[in-house]
Amino acid sequence: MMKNDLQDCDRQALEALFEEFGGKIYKSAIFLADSREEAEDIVQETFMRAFRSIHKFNGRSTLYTWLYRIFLNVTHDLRRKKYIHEKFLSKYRIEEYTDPVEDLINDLDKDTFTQSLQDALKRQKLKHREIIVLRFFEDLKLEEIAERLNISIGTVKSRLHIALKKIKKSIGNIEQFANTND
Amino acid sequence: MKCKRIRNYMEEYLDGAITGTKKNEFDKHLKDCTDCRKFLLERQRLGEMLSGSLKKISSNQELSPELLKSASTLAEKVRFKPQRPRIPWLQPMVPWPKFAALWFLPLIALVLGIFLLQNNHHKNYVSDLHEPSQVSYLKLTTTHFVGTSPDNWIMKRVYVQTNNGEEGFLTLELTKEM
Repeated sequence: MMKNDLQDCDRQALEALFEEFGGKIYKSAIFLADSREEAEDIVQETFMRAFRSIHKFNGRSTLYTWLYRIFLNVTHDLRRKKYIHEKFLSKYRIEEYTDPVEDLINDLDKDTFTQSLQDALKRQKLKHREIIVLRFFEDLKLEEIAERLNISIGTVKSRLHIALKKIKKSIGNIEQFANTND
Repeated sequence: MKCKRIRNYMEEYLDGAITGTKKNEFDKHLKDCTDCRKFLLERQRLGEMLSGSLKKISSNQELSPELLKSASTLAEKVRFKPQRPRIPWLQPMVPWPKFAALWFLPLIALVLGIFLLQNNHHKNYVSDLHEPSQVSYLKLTTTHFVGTSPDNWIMKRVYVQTNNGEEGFLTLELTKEM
């Protein structure tokens, strides 16, 4: 029903889609992007792509899963572009003026664990970060992660293992935080 | 079951994907082995804390209202391409692979390689004369057989005199027919 609505290019349906999933995707985007602006760009690009190719949605997965896949693709594309851009800048030694980026989570009361978790996440590779987000933020099972990322369960497990190991290493003793949290 | 195996399947255990007799074995091992129990507890605690923290961070983050408003303009921006009707007899039997052009690379490399290898044989003398290309008059004095090159060319060392009075050795590579 929803699919037919969308295929008729019903503007209202598109807006409804954005309103329903925009916020949800944005919440994942803040963990995978470097700044608030980047996260907003990612969300916008995700929905642009989704609108453009809505006729390709075949209803085999849920609409959210389909959008999430597009969102992850957009994130990876953006990272790739950024990497190439940085490489270009460093090759020709061009100094780029950058605004001091405001911290994403600066308006929060930062407890020590959140702070160190944030630092740890920033240092992770995108492929490990997205596993952490899918596993602990989206609360997905291994199979679901594998399906969403289009990789094998073994790969999910190894990436998760590495990501958790890195987080453990950078936040140090968990017990210390656990006691303060309780 | 060994501890290593238990830890390897810990994520599945937490997902509840392990059932039946395997789960019983798992539970039994966890009951007996303090190390594995500790590992599980630590993993659970880390998971809870990660989950809690991530949700706490995201709870304060809302999509700015401007972006939500822009959804309508976004929808207008996107131009919908009408789907092209597919003509079945025009579709290739096997879909054209994404990087088909790359398949030609080894072929090009092979052709180039053969060309370069052949090019090597164009050099049929080695000389200690200064300008061997200008040798127009050769006065052969002595000829020494040097040997055969690896690809069966006969190598001969020849003492020559050029028209501008220079003298020197030339090593000729000759085919057997010559």
